[in-house]
Amino acid sequence: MQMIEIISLKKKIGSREILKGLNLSVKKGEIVTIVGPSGSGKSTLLRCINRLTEFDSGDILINGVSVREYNPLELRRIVGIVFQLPVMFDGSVEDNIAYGLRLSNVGKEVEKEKMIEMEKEIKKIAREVGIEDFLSNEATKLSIGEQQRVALARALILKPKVMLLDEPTSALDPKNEENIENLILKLVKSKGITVLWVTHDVAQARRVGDRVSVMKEGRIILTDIPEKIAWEEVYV
Amino acid sequence: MQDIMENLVKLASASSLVLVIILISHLRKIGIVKDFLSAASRGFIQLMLLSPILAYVFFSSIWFVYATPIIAVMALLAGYTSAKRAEASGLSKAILITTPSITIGALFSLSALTILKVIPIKPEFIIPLAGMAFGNAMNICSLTLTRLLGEIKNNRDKIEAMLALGASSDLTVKEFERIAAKWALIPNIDNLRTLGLIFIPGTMTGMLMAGIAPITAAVYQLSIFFMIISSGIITAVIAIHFTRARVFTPAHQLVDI
Ligand SMILES: Nc1ncnc2c1ncn2[C@@H]1O[C@H](COP(=O)(O)OP(=O)(O)OP(=O)(O)O)[C@@H](O)[C@H]1O
Ligand SMILES: [Mg+2]
Repeated sequence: MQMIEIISLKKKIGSREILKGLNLSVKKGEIVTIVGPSGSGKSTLLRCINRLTEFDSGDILINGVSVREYNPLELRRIVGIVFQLPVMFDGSVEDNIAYGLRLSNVGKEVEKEKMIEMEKEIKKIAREVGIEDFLSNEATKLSIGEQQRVALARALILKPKVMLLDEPTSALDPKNEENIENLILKLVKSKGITVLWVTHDVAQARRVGDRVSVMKEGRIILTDIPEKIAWEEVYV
Repeated sequence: MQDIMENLVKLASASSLVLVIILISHLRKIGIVKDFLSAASRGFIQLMLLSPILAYVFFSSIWFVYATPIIAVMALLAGYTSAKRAEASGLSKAILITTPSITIGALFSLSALTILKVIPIKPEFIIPLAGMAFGNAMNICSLTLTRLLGEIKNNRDKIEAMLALGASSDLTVKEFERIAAKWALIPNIDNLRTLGLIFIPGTMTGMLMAGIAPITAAVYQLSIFFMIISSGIITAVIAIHFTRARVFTPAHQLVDI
Protein backbone atom coordinates (compact mmCIF):
# COMPACT_ATOMS: atom_id res chain seq x y z
CA MET A 1 0.00 0.00 0.00
CA GLN A 2 1.49 3.35 -1.07
CA MET A 3 0.88 6.17 1.39
CA ILE A 4 2.41 8.87 -0.79
CA GLU A 5 2.43 8.62 -4.54
CA ILE A 6 3.89 11.41 -6.62
CA ILE A 7 3.32 11.18 -10.34
CA SER A 8 5.18 13.33 -12.93
CA LEU A 9 4.93 16.36 -10.72
CA LYS A 10 5.76 19.65 -12.39
CA LYS A 11 5.97 23.12 -11.01
CA LYS A 12 7.19 26.41 -12.35
CA ILE A 13 8.04 29.45 -10.28
CA GLY A 14 7.91 32.45 -12.59
CA SER A 15 9.26 31.09 -15.85
CA ARG A 16 11.66 28.65 -14.19
CA GLU A 17 10.78 25.00 -13.97
CA ILE A 18 11.57 23.91 -10.42
CA LEU A 19 10.04 20.43 -10.47
CA LYS A 20 10.41 18.71 -13.81
CA GLY A 21 8.20 15.65 -13.77
CA LEU A 22 9.07 14.08 -10.45
CA ASN A 23 8.04 10.57 -9.44
CA LEU A 24 8.23 9.00 -6.00
CA SER A 25 6.27 6.50 -3.92
CA VAL A 26 6.46 5.98 -0.19
CA LYS A 27 4.93 2.96 1.51
CA LYS A 28 2.84 3.21 4.64
CA GLY A 29 5.07 3.49 7.70
CA GLU A 30 8.20 3.93 5.62
CA ILE A 31 10.83 6.67 6.07
CA VAL A 32 12.22 7.97 2.80
CA THR A 33 15.00 10.53 3.01
CA ILE A 34 15.69 12.97 0.22
CA VAL A 35 19.16 14.34 -0.40
CA GLY A 36 20.20 16.68 -3.15
CA PRO A 37 22.01 19.90 -3.86
CA SER A 38 20.73 23.22 -2.62
CA GLY A 39 18.14 24.60 -5.00
CA SER A 40 17.20 21.22 -6.45
CA GLY A 41 13.62 21.69 -5.31
CA LYS A 42 13.41 19.62 -2.13
CA SER A 43 11.50 22.19 -0.08
CA THR A 44 9.28 23.01 -3.01
CA LEU A 45 8.38 19.32 -3.32
CA LEU A 46 7.34 19.09 0.34
CA ARG A 47 5.30 22.28 0.06
CA CYS A 48 3.41 20.81 -2.89
CA ILE A 49 2.50 17.72 -0.90
CA ASN A 50 0.61 19.59 1.83
CA ARG A 51 -0.45 22.21 -0.72
CA LEU A 52 1.25 25.18 0.87
CA THR A 53 2.10 25.83 -2.73
CA GLU A 54 0.29 24.82 -5.90
CA PHE A 55 1.78 22.49 -8.50
CA ASP A 56 1.14 22.87 -12.22
CA SER A 57 0.66 19.30 -13.43
CA GLY A 58 1.02 15.68 -12.44
CA ASP A 59 -0.53 14.50 -9.21
CA ILE A 60 0.13 13.66 -5.60
CA LEU A 61 -1.91 10.93 -3.94
CA ILE A 62 -2.14 10.58 -0.20
CA ASN A 63 -3.63 7.23 0.79
CA GLY A 64 -4.77 6.84 -2.82
CA VAL A 65 -6.60 10.16 -3.03
CA SER A 66 -5.34 13.21 -4.90
CA VAL A 67 -4.34 16.06 -2.59
CA ARG A 68 -6.57 18.27 -4.71
CA GLU A 69 -9.57 16.23 -3.65
CA TYR A 70 -8.96 16.92 0.03
CA ASN A 71 -10.13 20.01 1.81
CA PRO A 72 -6.75 21.74 2.11
CA LEU A 73 -7.25 22.44 5.82
CA GLU A 74 -7.93 18.78 6.50
CA LEU A 75 -5.09 17.64 4.27
CA ARG A 76 -2.65 19.67 6.36
CA ARG A 77 -3.76 17.93 9.52
CA ILE A 78 -3.24 14.53 7.90
CA VAL A 79 0.07 15.61 6.41
CA GLY A 80 2.14 17.40 9.06
CA ILE A 81 5.28 19.38 8.33
CA VAL A 82 8.28 20.51 10.36
CA PHE A 83 10.59 23.15 8.92
CA GLN A 84 14.27 23.79 9.38
CA LEU A 85 13.62 26.82 11.59
CA PRO A 86 10.76 26.48 14.06
CA VAL A 87 8.42 29.47 14.25
CA MET A 88 6.80 29.85 17.63
CA PHE A 89 3.46 31.61 17.99
CA ASP A 90 2.93 34.17 20.74
CA GLY A 91 1.88 32.57 24.01
CA SER A 92 2.98 29.62 26.08
CA VAL A 93 4.43 26.32 24.96
CA GLU A 94 1.07 24.79 25.80
CA ASP A 95 -0.71 27.31 23.55
CA ASN A 96 1.66 26.38 20.76
CA ILE A 97 1.16 22.66 21.13
CA ALA A 98 -2.60 23.11 21.36
CA TYR A 99 -2.79 25.45 18.34
CA GLY A 100 -4.06 22.91 15.82
CA LEU A 101 -6.28 21.14 18.36
CA ARG A 102 -8.00 24.35 19.38
CA LEU A 103 -8.69 25.43 15.79
CA SER A 104 -11.84 23.37 15.67
CA ASN A 105 -13.06 25.13 18.81
CA VAL A 106 -12.53 28.73 17.70
CA GLY A 107 -15.58 30.74 18.73
CA LYS A 108 -17.26 27.75 20.37
CA GLU A 109 -18.06 26.80 23.90
CA VAL A 110 -15.99 23.73 24.72
CA GLU A 111 -17.37 21.06 27.02
CA LYS A 112 -15.47 20.25 30.14
CA GLU A 113 -14.75 16.65 29.20
CA LYS A 114 -13.25 17.69 25.91
CA MET A 115 -11.08 20.25 27.66
CA ILE A 116 -9.78 17.63 30.06
CA GLU A 117 -9.19 15.26 27.18
CA MET A 118 -7.19 17.93 25.34
CA GLU A 119 -5.15 18.75 28.45
CA LYS A 120 -4.23 15.08 28.71
CA GLU A 121 -3.15 14.88 25.11
CA ILE A 122 -1.03 18.00 25.43
CA LYS A 123 0.72 16.62 28.51
CA LYS A 124 1.27 13.27 26.83
CA ILE A 125 2.83 14.67 23.68
CA ALA A 126 4.89 17.16 25.70
CA ARG A 127 6.29 14.26 27.68
CA GLU A 128 7.03 12.33 24.52
CA VAL A 129 9.08 15.16 23.03
CA GLY A 130 10.67 16.05 26.37
CA ILE A 131 9.25 19.49 27.07
CA GLU A 132 6.80 18.67 29.83
CA ASP A 133 8.64 21.02 32.20
CA PHE A 134 8.27 24.01 29.89
CA LEU A 135 4.53 23.94 29.24
CA SER A 136 3.82 27.33 30.79
CA ASN A 137 6.98 29.01 29.46
CA GLU A 138 6.78 31.62 26.76
CA ALA A 139 7.46 29.69 23.57
CA THR A 140 9.47 32.35 21.75
CA LYS A 141 11.99 32.40 24.60
CA LEU A 142 12.97 28.73 24.28
CA SER A 143 16.22 27.62 22.68
CA ILE A 144 16.05 26.54 19.03
CA GLY A 145 16.34 22.90 20.03
CA GLU A 146 13.45 23.22 22.47
CA GLN A 147 11.41 25.14 19.91
CA GLN A 148 11.96 22.36 17.41
CA ARG A 149 10.54 19.91 19.95
CA VAL A 150 7.49 22.15 20.31
CA ALA A 151 7.12 22.29 16.52
CA LEU A 152 7.25 18.51 16.45
CA ALA A 153 4.68 18.18 19.23
CA ARG A 154 2.43 20.75 17.56
CA ALA A 155 2.30 18.65 14.41
CA LEU A 156 2.16 15.22 16.07
CA ILE A 157 -0.74 16.07 18.35
CA LEU A 158 -2.96 16.23 15.25
CA LYS A 159 -2.19 12.52 14.69
CA PRO A 160 -0.94 12.92 11.12
CA LYS A 161 -0.60 9.90 8.83
CA VAL A 162 2.32 11.54 7.03
CA MET A 163 5.11 13.77 8.27
CA LEU A 164 7.16 15.98 5.99
CA LEU A 165 10.46 17.01 7.53
CA ASP A 166 12.46 19.76 5.87
CA GLU A 167 15.96 19.58 7.35
CA PRO A 168 14.51 19.42 10.87
CA THR A 169 17.89 19.10 12.59
CA SER A 170 20.14 21.30 10.48
CA ALA A 171 19.72 24.42 12.62
CA LEU A 172 20.77 22.54 15.74
CA ASP A 173 24.11 21.93 17.43
CA PRO A 174 25.52 18.38 17.07
CA LYS A 175 24.25 17.21 20.46
CA ASN A 176 20.73 18.45 19.82
CA GLU A 177 20.87 17.21 16.28
CA GLU A 178 21.48 13.68 17.47
CA ASN A 179 18.84 13.95 20.20
CA ILE A 180 16.13 15.27 17.92
CA GLU A 181 17.00 12.84 15.16
CA ASN A 182 16.58 9.93 17.56
CA LEU A 183 13.45 11.43 19.01
CA ILE A 184 11.82 11.79 15.59
CA LEU A 185 12.80 8.26 14.64
CA LYS A 186 11.37 6.81 17.83
CA LEU A 187 8.12 8.76 17.59
CA VAL A 188 7.32 8.18 13.93
CA LYS A 189 8.16 4.50 14.14
CA SER A 190 6.04 3.97 17.25
CA LYS A 191 3.11 5.83 15.72
CA GLY A 192 3.49 4.21 12.30
CA ILE A 193 3.76 7.55 10.54
CA THR A 194 4.95 7.67 6.95
CA VAL A 195 7.82 10.11 6.57
CA LEU A 196 9.48 12.10 3.83
CA TRP A 197 12.63 13.54 5.35
CA VAL A 198 14.72 16.11 3.50
CA THR A 199 18.28 16.49 4.69
CA HIS A 200 21.50 17.87 3.29
CA ASP A 201 23.41 15.53 5.57
CA VAL A 202 24.11 12.39 3.58
CA ALA A 203 25.19 10.47 6.67
CA GLN A 204 21.86 11.29 8.29
CA ALA A 205 20.00 10.24 5.15
CA ARG A 206 21.68 6.84 5.35
CA ARG A 207 21.10 6.51 9.08
CA VAL A 208 17.42 7.28 9.22
CA GLY A 209 16.08 6.35 5.79
CA ASP A 210 14.49 3.00 5.04
CA ARG A 211 15.16 4.18 1.52
CA VAL A 212 17.04 7.18 0.22
CA SER A 213 16.05 9.31 -2.76
CA VAL A 214 18.54 11.47 -4.56
CA MET A 215 17.14 14.63 -6.04
CA LYS A 216 18.76 16.70 -8.75
CA GLU A 217 17.45 19.62 -10.73
CA GLY A 218 13.80 19.02 -10.06
CA ARG A 219 13.81 15.24 -10.45
CA ILE A 220 14.33 12.20 -8.27
CA ILE A 221 17.18 10.50 -10.10
CA LEU A 222 17.49 7.47 -7.88
CA THR A 223 15.76 5.80 -4.94
CA ASP A 224 17.06 2.76 -3.12
CA ILE A 225 17.88 1.27 0.25
CA PRO A 226 20.99 2.93 1.73
CA GLU A 227 23.14 -0.19 1.32
CA LYS A 228 22.60 -0.24 -2.42
CA ILE A 229 23.33 3.38 -3.21
CA ALA A 230 26.64 4.19 -4.83
CA TRP A 231 27.49 6.97 -2.40
CA GLU A 232 30.62 8.10 -4.22
CA GLU A 233 28.30 9.34 -6.93
CA VAL A 234 25.90 11.07 -4.58
CA TYR A 235 28.59 13.03 -2.78
CA VAL A 236 29.68 14.89 -5.89
CA MET B 1 -4.45 93.08 -10.33
CA GLN B 2 -3.38 94.35 -6.94
CA ASP B 3 -4.97 91.19 -5.52
CA ILE B 4 -3.06 88.82 -7.76
CA MET B 5 0.23 90.58 -7.04
CA GLU B 6 -0.40 90.40 -3.33
CA ASN B 7 -1.18 86.68 -3.58
CA LEU B 8 1.94 85.96 -5.56
CA VAL B 9 4.12 87.74 -3.02
CA LYS B 10 2.54 85.72 -0.24
CA LEU B 11 3.11 82.49 -2.15
CA ALA B 12 6.74 83.38 -2.76
CA SER B 13 7.27 84.20 0.91
CA ALA B 14 5.66 80.97 2.05
CA SER B 15 7.89 79.09 -0.35
CA SER B 16 10.90 80.02 1.76
CA LEU B 17 9.77 77.11 3.95
CA VAL B 18 10.38 74.86 0.96
CA LEU B 19 14.06 75.73 1.26
CA VAL B 20 13.97 74.58 4.88
CA ILE B 21 12.52 71.25 3.78
CA ILE B 22 15.13 70.77 1.07
CA LEU B 23 17.99 71.82 3.32
CA ILE B 24 17.05 69.51 6.16
CA SER B 25 16.34 66.59 3.88
CA HIS B 26 19.71 67.11 2.22
CA LEU B 27 21.72 67.58 5.40
CA ARG B 28 20.14 64.67 7.23
CA LYS B 29 20.04 62.50 4.09
CA ILE B 30 16.34 61.82 4.50
CA GLY B 31 16.07 61.51 0.75
CA ILE B 32 12.69 63.08 0.17
CA VAL B 33 13.79 66.05 -1.96
CA LYS B 34 12.82 64.48 -5.25
CA ASP B 35 9.56 63.13 -3.90
CA PHE B 36 8.77 66.40 -2.23
CA LEU B 37 9.56 68.64 -5.20
CA SER B 38 7.48 66.59 -7.60
CA ALA B 39 4.63 66.52 -5.09
CA ALA B 40 4.91 70.25 -4.44
CA SER B 41 4.88 71.21 -8.11
CA ARG B 42 1.95 68.87 -8.74
CA GLY B 43 0.12 70.38 -5.79
CA PHE B 44 0.81 73.88 -7.06
CA ILE B 45 -0.45 73.21 -10.57
CA GLN B 46 -3.49 71.33 -9.30
CA LEU B 47 -4.56 74.14 -7.00
CA MET B 48 -3.99 76.80 -9.64
CA LEU B 49 -6.20 74.85 -12.01
CA LEU B 50 -8.77 74.14 -9.35
CA SER B 51 -9.32 77.70 -8.11
CA PRO B 52 -10.94 79.10 -11.24
CA ILE B 53 -12.95 75.91 -11.74
CA LEU B 54 -14.29 76.12 -8.20
CA ALA B 55 -15.07 79.81 -8.61
CA TYR B 56 -17.14 78.94 -11.66
CA VAL B 57 -18.87 75.87 -10.23
CA PHE B 58 -19.82 77.53 -6.94
CA PHE B 59 -21.86 80.16 -8.71
CA SER B 60 -23.38 77.90 -11.35
CA SER B 61 -27.05 76.93 -11.02
CA ILE B 62 -26.29 73.46 -12.41
CA TRP B 63 -23.32 72.89 -10.10
CA PHE B 64 -24.22 69.25 -9.45
CA VAL B 65 -23.63 68.52 -13.13
CA TYR B 66 -20.05 69.63 -12.59
CA ALA B 67 -19.73 68.11 -9.14
CA THR B 68 -20.18 64.55 -10.42
CA PRO B 69 -17.11 64.50 -12.69
CA ILE B 70 -15.12 66.42 -10.08
CA ILE B 71 -15.86 63.76 -7.48
CA ALA B 72 -15.17 61.02 -10.00
CA VAL B 73 -11.76 62.53 -10.68
CA MET B 74 -11.09 62.71 -6.94
CA ALA B 75 -11.96 59.03 -6.61
CA LEU B 76 -9.72 57.99 -9.49
CA LEU B 77 -6.80 60.12 -8.39
CA ALA B 78 -7.05 58.98 -4.79
CA GLY B 79 -7.28 55.36 -5.93
CA TYR B 80 -4.33 55.78 -8.24
CA THR B 81 -2.13 57.50 -5.65
CA SER B 82 -2.85 54.92 -2.99
CA ALA B 83 -2.39 52.08 -5.47
CA LYS B 84 1.14 53.30 -6.21
CA ARG B 85 2.02 52.85 -2.54
CA ALA B 86 0.41 49.44 -2.34
CA GLU B 87 2.14 48.32 -5.52
CA ALA B 88 5.49 49.38 -4.11
CA SER B 89 4.69 46.95 -1.28
CA GLY B 90 4.09 44.17 -3.76
CA LEU B 91 0.37 44.22 -4.47
CA SER B 92 -0.21 44.05 -8.21
CA LYS B 93 -3.19 45.77 -9.83
CA ALA B 94 -3.74 47.54 -6.53
CA ILE B 95 -5.95 50.16 -8.15
CA LEU B 96 -8.70 47.55 -8.35
CA ILE B 97 -8.62 47.46 -4.56
CA THR B 98 -7.86 51.05 -3.62
CA THR B 99 -10.35 52.87 -5.85
CA PRO B 100 -13.48 51.02 -4.74
CA SER B 101 -12.42 50.98 -1.08
CA ILE B 102 -11.75 54.71 -1.01
CA THR B 103 -14.87 55.57 -3.01
CA ILE B 104 -17.22 53.52 -0.88
CA GLY B 105 -15.67 54.83 2.35
CA ALA B 106 -15.69 58.48 1.32
CA LEU B 107 -19.11 58.52 -0.30
CA PHE B 108 -20.76 56.66 2.55
CA SER B 109 -19.80 59.20 5.19
CA LEU B 110 -20.37 62.17 2.94
CA SER B 111 -23.86 60.93 2.07
CA ALA B 112 -24.61 60.24 5.72
CA LEU B 113 -23.83 63.83 6.68
CA THR B 114 -25.94 65.27 3.88
CA ILE B 115 -28.87 62.93 4.51
CA LEU B 116 -28.73 63.84 8.21
CA LYS B 117 -28.72 67.48 7.12
CA VAL B 118 -25.52 68.24 9.01
CA ILE B 119 -24.13 69.78 5.90
CA PRO B 120 -26.26 71.60 3.33
CA ILE B 121 -26.43 70.42 -0.24
CA LYS B 122 -24.43 73.29 -1.63
CA PRO B 123 -21.36 73.08 -3.85
CA GLU B 124 -19.17 75.12 -1.50
CA PHE B 125 -19.83 72.45 1.15
CA ILE B 126 -20.07 69.27 -0.88
CA ILE B 127 -17.00 69.70 -3.04
CA PRO B 128 -14.40 70.65 -0.43
CA LEU B 129 -15.81 68.08 1.99
CA ALA B 130 -15.65 65.41 -0.67
CA GLY B 131 -12.04 66.43 -1.12
CA MET B 132 -11.36 65.93 2.58
CA ALA B 133 -13.16 62.61 2.70
CA PHE B 134 -11.36 61.25 -0.37
CA GLY B 135 -8.02 62.65 0.71
CA ASN B 136 -8.22 61.11 4.15
CA ALA B 137 -9.59 57.82 2.85
CA MET B 138 -6.66 57.76 0.43
CA ASN B 139 -4.16 58.16 3.25
CA ILE B 140 -5.84 55.54 5.39
CA CYS B 141 -5.92 53.17 2.44
CA SER B 142 -2.20 53.65 1.74
CA LEU B 143 -1.24 53.28 5.39
CA THR B 144 -3.43 50.22 5.90
CA LEU B 145 -2.19 48.41 2.83
CA THR B 146 1.52 49.18 3.25
CA ARG B 147 1.43 48.05 6.85
CA LEU B 148 -0.66 44.97 6.12
CA LEU B 149 1.53 43.86 3.22
CA GLY B 150 4.64 44.56 5.26
CA GLU B 151 3.35 42.47 8.16
CA ILE B 152 2.43 39.62 5.83
CA LYS B 153 5.85 39.68 4.18
CA ASN B 154 7.68 39.76 7.50
CA ASN B 155 5.52 37.00 8.92
CA ARG B 156 5.41 34.66 5.94
CA ASP B 157 6.96 31.82 7.92
CA LYS B 158 4.59 32.27 10.81
CA ILE B 159 1.54 32.43 8.55
CA GLU B 160 2.63 29.29 6.72
CA ALA B 161 3.34 27.53 10.01
CA MET B 162 -0.26 28.26 11.03
CA LEU B 163 -1.65 27.18 7.66
CA ALA B 164 0.39 23.98 7.95
CA LEU B 165 -1.48 23.15 11.16
CA GLY B 166 -4.82 23.50 9.43
CA ALA B 167 -5.59 27.15 10.18
CA SER B 168 -7.72 28.97 7.62
CA SER B 169 -6.13 31.84 5.73
CA ASP B 170 -8.51 34.32 7.39
CA LEU B 171 -7.38 33.28 10.82
CA THR B 172 -3.67 33.52 10.09
CA VAL B 173 -3.80 37.20 9.08
CA LYS B 174 -6.46 38.43 11.48
CA GLU B 175 -3.86 39.77 13.87
CA PHE B 176 -1.99 41.64 11.11
CA GLU B 177 -5.18 43.13 9.71
CA ARG B 178 -6.06 44.50 13.10
CA ILE B 179 -2.58 45.96 13.53
CA ALA B 180 -2.68 47.57 10.09
CA ALA B 181 -6.09 49.19 10.48
CA LYS B 182 -5.35 50.43 13.96
CA TRP B 183 -2.03 51.86 12.90
CA ALA B 184 -3.52 53.62 9.89
CA LEU B 185 -6.10 55.35 12.06
CA ILE B 186 -3.62 56.62 14.65
CA PRO B 187 -3.02 60.04 13.03
CA ASN B 188 -6.77 60.65 12.78
CA ILE B 189 -7.46 59.57 16.33
CA ASP B 190 -4.58 61.59 17.72
CA ASN B 191 -5.72 64.67 15.82
CA LEU B 192 -9.16 64.19 17.28
CA ARG B 193 -7.75 63.77 20.77
CA THR B 194 -5.75 66.99 20.61
CA LEU B 195 -8.38 68.87 18.66
CA GLY B 196 -8.34 72.50 19.69
CA LEU B 197 -5.39 72.00 22.03
CA ILE B 198 -2.51 71.55 19.65
CA PHE B 199 -4.25 71.20 16.42
CA ILE B 200 -6.81 73.60 14.97
CA PRO B 201 -7.51 71.82 11.72
CA GLY B 202 -8.11 73.13 8.24
CA THR B 203 -11.81 73.66 8.19
CA MET B 204 -11.95 75.40 11.51
CA THR B 205 -8.93 77.52 10.72
CA GLY B 206 -10.53 78.52 7.46
CA MET B 207 -13.87 79.34 9.03
CA LEU B 208 -12.27 81.30 11.87
CA MET B 209 -10.16 83.23 9.41
CA ALA B 210 -13.30 83.97 7.41
CA GLY B 211 -14.96 85.37 10.56
CA ILE B 212 -17.51 82.62 11.37
CA ALA B 213 -18.59 82.20 15.01
CA PRO B 214 -16.17 79.81 16.79
CA ILE B 215 -18.99 77.57 18.06
CA THR B 216 -20.38 77.06 14.55
CA ALA B 217 -16.89 76.39 13.27
CA ALA B 218 -16.36 73.89 16.10
CA VAL B 219 -19.53 71.94 15.29
CA TYR B 220 -18.57 71.69 11.64
CA GLN B 221 -15.08 70.65 12.53
CA LEU B 222 -16.25 67.84 14.78
CA SER B 223 -18.75 66.63 12.21
CA ILE B 224 -16.03 66.62 9.62
CA PHE B 225 -13.75 64.65 11.87
CA PHE B 226 -16.41 62.04 12.38
CA MET B 227 -16.94 61.97 8.65
CA ILE B 228 -13.30 61.47 7.76
CA ILE B 229 -12.65 58.90 10.46
CA SER B 230 -15.74 56.88 9.59
CA SER B 231 -14.85 57.01 5.90
CA GLY B 232 -11.32 55.99 6.85
CA ILE B 233 -12.35 52.98 8.86
CA ILE B 234 -14.77 51.81 6.18
CA THR B 235 -12.04 52.20 3.57
CA ALA B 236 -9.56 50.28 5.72
CA VAL B 237 -11.95 47.38 6.29
CA ILE B 238 -12.88 47.07 2.63
CA ALA B 239 -9.28 47.34 1.47
CA ILE B 240 -8.25 44.65 3.96
CA HIS B 241 -11.03 42.38 2.78
CA PHE B 242 -10.07 42.70 -0.88
CA THR B 243 -6.39 42.27 -0.10
CA ARG B 244 -6.98 39.04 1.78
CA ALA B 245 -8.60 37.60 -1.31
CA ARG B 246 -5.49 38.55 -3.29
CA VAL B 247 -2.73 37.29 -1.01
CA PHE B 248 -4.36 33.89 -0.55
CA THR B 249 -5.67 31.38 -3.03
CA PRO B 250 -9.01 29.68 -2.33
CA ALA B 251 -6.95 26.65 -1.22
CA HIS B 252 -5.52 28.71 1.66
CA GLN B 253 -2.12 29.17 0.06
CA LEU B 254 -0.15 32.33 0.68
CA VAL B 255 0.97 33.69 -2.69
CA ASP B 256 4.26 35.47 -3.30
CA ILE B 257 3.97 39.21 -2.84
N1 LIG C 1 8.96 31.76 -3.79
C1 LIG C 1 9.96 31.60 -4.67
N2 LIG C 1 10.23 32.54 -5.59
C2 LIG C 1 11.22 32.38 -6.48
N3 LIG C 1 12.01 31.32 -6.53
C3 LIG C 1 11.80 30.35 -5.62
C4 LIG C 1 10.77 30.43 -4.65
N4 LIG C 1 10.80 29.31 -3.91
C5 LIG C 1 11.79 28.57 -4.39
N5 LIG C 1 12.41 29.18 -5.43
C6 LIG C 1 13.56 28.65 -6.21
O1 LIG C 1 13.29 27.32 -6.52
C7 LIG C 1 14.46 26.54 -6.43
C8 LIG C 1 14.22 25.36 -5.52
O2 LIG C 1 14.02 25.86 -4.20
P1 LIG C 1 13.88 24.90 -2.96
O3 LIG C 1 13.74 25.75 -1.77
O4 LIG C 1 12.81 23.92 -3.23
O5 LIG C 1 15.29 24.17 -2.98
P2 LIG C 1 15.90 23.18 -1.91
O6 LIG C 1 16.26 21.94 -2.65
O7 LIG C 1 14.99 23.02 -0.76
O8 LIG C 1 17.23 23.94 -1.48
P3 LIG C 1 17.94 24.01 -0.05
O9 LIG C 1 18.71 22.73 0.11
O10 LIG C 1 18.87 25.18 -0.17
O11 LIG C 1 16.89 24.21 0.99
C9 LIG C 1 15.55 27.46 -5.93
O12 LIG C 1 16.36 27.83 -7.02
C10 LIG C 1 14.82 28.65 -5.40
O13 LIG C 1 15.55 29.82 -5.61
MG1 LIG D 1 15.06 23.67 1.29
